[in-house]
Amino acid sequence: MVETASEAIASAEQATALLAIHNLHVQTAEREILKGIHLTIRPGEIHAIMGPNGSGKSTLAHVLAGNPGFTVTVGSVFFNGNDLLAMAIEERARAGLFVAFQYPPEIPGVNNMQYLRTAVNTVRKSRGQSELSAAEFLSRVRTILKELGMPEEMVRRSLNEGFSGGEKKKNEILQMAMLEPRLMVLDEIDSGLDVDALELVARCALRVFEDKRSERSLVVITHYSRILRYIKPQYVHVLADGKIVESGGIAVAERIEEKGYG
Amino acid sequence: MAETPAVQEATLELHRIPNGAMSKESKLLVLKDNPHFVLPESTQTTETVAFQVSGKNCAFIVLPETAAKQAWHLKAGCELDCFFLARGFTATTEVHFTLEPQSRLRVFSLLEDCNLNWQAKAELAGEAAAFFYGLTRTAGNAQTKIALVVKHSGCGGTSEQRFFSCASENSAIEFIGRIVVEAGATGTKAHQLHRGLLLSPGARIAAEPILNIFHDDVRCTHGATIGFIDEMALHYLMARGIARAKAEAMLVAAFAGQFAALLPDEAKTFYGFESSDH
Amino acid sequence: MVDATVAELGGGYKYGFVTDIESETLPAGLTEETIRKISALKDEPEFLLEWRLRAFRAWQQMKEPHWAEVTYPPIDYQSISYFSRPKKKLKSLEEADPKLLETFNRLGIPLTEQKFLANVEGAEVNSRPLTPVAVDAVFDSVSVVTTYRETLAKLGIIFCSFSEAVREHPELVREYLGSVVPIRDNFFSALNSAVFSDGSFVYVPPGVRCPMELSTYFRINSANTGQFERTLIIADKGSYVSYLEGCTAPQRDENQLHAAVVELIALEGAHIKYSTVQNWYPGDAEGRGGIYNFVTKRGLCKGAYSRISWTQVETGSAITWKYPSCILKGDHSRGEFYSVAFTGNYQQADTGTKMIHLGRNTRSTIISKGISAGHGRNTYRGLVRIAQSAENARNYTRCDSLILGDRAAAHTYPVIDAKNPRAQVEHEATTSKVSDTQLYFLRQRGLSEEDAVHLVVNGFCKEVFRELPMEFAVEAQKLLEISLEDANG
Repeated sequence: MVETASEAIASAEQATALLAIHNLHVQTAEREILKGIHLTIRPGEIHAIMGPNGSGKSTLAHVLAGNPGFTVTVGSVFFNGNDLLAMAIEERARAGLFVAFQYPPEIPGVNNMQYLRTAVNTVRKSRGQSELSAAEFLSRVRTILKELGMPEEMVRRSLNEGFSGGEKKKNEILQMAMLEPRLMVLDEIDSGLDVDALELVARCALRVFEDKRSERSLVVITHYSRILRYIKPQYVHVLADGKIVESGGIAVAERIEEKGYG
Repeated sequence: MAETPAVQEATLELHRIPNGAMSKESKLLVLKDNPHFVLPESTQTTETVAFQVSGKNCAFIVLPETAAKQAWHLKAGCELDCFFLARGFTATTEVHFTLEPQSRLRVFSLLEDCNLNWQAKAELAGEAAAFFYGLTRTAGNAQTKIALVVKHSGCGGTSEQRFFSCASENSAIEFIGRIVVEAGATGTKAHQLHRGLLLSPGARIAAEPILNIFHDDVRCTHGATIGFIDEMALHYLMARGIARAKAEAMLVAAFAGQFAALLPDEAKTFYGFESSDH
Repeated sequence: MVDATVAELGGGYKYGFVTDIESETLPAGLTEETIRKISALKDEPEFLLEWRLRAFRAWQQMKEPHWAEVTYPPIDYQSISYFSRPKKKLKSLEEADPKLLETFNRLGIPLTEQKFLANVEGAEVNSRPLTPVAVDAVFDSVSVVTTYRETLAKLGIIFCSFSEAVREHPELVREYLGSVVPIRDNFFSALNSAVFSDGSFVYVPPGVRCPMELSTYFRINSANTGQFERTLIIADKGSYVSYLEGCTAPQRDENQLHAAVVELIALEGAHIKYSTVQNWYPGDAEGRGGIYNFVTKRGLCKGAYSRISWTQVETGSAITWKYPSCILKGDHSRGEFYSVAFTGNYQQADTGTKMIHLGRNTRSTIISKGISAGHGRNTYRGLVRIAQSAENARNYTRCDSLILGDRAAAHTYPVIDAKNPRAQVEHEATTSKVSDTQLYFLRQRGLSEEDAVHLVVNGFCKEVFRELPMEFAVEAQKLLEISLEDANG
């Protein structure tokens, strides 16, 4: 009874892990994209998920976030012991899951700062924390802006409207830092960033992780290994055609950098 | 002056239209893979001429004095380019296109100095695509009216309208372009653009870009501008030593060039534009 | 996705209560006698009665227009009462029927001179200072009180009810009444000219910048009563005034007619800013009841360098049919129109503007945002006309529609008519829905679906809201949120 044994392991993992993915199959209207993913992430860990285009990396991020465009046909995902797949998108966010989007949408007319304050206070309230005062909020935002090398003018503009690719990515990390999540999933955060911006973004993400290392985990989804120079993962998983085909340490990423996915 | 391409033999059959959509005397022409179809003399009638199109076709239509009413039906998977040309005519033309899913229609029209009422309607069922491109030029006392309706009645259709109007002396151009998206036409993309260029104080251009949208999951845009020759561009050319009149002429030609740029090469000579082959 | 959110909450129309107050109401019906009675009740000078009668005769020959993209059963003009006012006549506010005061209290309208609307929220707006607002409160057919009159009088500003203006400043009324909206302009303006009961009158003398917002608050209370107010604002040379109007009505199953006329006149260098937050009872979720809001609003930029700005947030009424317009006669004059129109449930709105460019170097800007939800029908109808004399005229128009739910509809009928080769007219329009990606993104940051929809819709309306005076901007935003929640019954 292989199934029972693996389910027994799965339930044991659910108890201790921050994220426990078991035999996850996912499809869109057209085709199956993820074909049985198993992954366990514990607090304090950094994981990298690598793979060529079309391997399903971004799909994994979308499924964790709850994107309605994807259907889970088989499998389970537990987040901090709770059934993630049964939770609404915003419940997942409030429970501490943050997914930095590969392509954050532009939302015209919505002031970035006001939006961020609404999001932060909504999430804090749901966690039983007090709302941040305007002064406290502003001072935190300013600290992070500085850390990311973002001009303050960026938060006075409409959300992502007219932002360059790099500015959008920095804005994602700003939101992440303010929302204080437990599991941070960075979906191709390195695409569209120059070397300097990449370093700032990576250092900020790492700082947020280190702030509460005992509670937080970081998942870096990437095609290239250059971001892993700044964020050193303990675990590297290689995704190909909807399955994890290899898991190992940083050496896996080093080999990919040298030889490609071949 | 335009060179008319040689008439190519079309599979020409005369039919009665069974559903009574047109009068009993209507003619039905079946077009299949005609790269150079020119409307035959026999179709110069006040009756409706119906076309049924499959395969890939190009139709060159020089509007006659008494312009035919035309009904075009595009079968699934077919492609049709229609090139309308009218110079100095007084008439009313009605052209009606119906598109089956997966068909693709492009309609080009060059209307010059016409007292013309050009009415066109396209109905798209499902994932069909219709593109209308037009250049209208008037001078003297000519009055040209264009009324175009593009109706999306199925999911996933695409349509575009781009019209350029240029009126001088005491002439007038009126452009009424309507996009209708019926309930349930999910994923429709429709775009409409009208640019007007007024060249003299007695001229008039009116544009009515109308949207009637009965569904939420659509993306429709329209834009319309009316103005004079770009003063900045004019001054720039004059600063390079070009006389005002010449500079103006160049910019008017450039305005028309926006239409010419949309034309496939084989139609450029038909309309009298320089072919890009030269 | 949006549908579910919109349907979830049912806030209800907050202002649907009826005040039980003793009124004297003319019996239903409209004859020459009715008009003589209204004029007599108001003790009007002869010229005005004559004017009304001329209008009535014109109206009798006119036909109700039906070109708008709205449908409603025929209106029986003989079943409407054309005049209703609280019985007790007021000498001062202290004498007012407490029920009347209570009514305006419940509506949040201060009839005493005090700090206005202290409950302002929102980080962004906090930086703008609160200014006092002078209020003219109109209850059914009459103005019940006008505040801050003495303060304004010191600057020579006249702010009073229309009836009072007729008594105190007949020369101004005579000169300007009907000068922008002639009696025969349209069916409803003719009707209004015949039977109008009250409204506001503003005159700002040359060079005076009105230090506070002037505001009229309209309340329909009585059943089977039409409201026909008349507003006339004259800004003399180099003056500035910002005027606001708000309106509510009780929840009733029958439709009620509101046919107002507003005329603005801006002389040389004057600027009039006219803002409306229209919240008449919209009818219930099945489309029963609600106000027919058939209004004619027009401004004349008479002098050079004058400017008229219309800003409207239309969330109420069963049917809205109005086109606040500008006639840009003075050289270098400017006309502006900023509009948010929301239609939910079975509401219908056919609204827009006309910008008539006559003078040289005239400029106009049109920003229209239409939102349809439920079975709502929203139409933008606009006309930009550049006359041959309007050398160098410029217009920019942007009209966007947002459709929430698959039973709503949006229409756009802009007409551009240019006769001057030195003119420049630009028009842009889009129709779209709240994108799933935007909602997904916002929910991933912890916002609920409703909050995400509100945020996107508010963002959509931002360009218009920022044109409103601060207090109104906050009110408009809240109103829109409530309307969104109620939109699907």
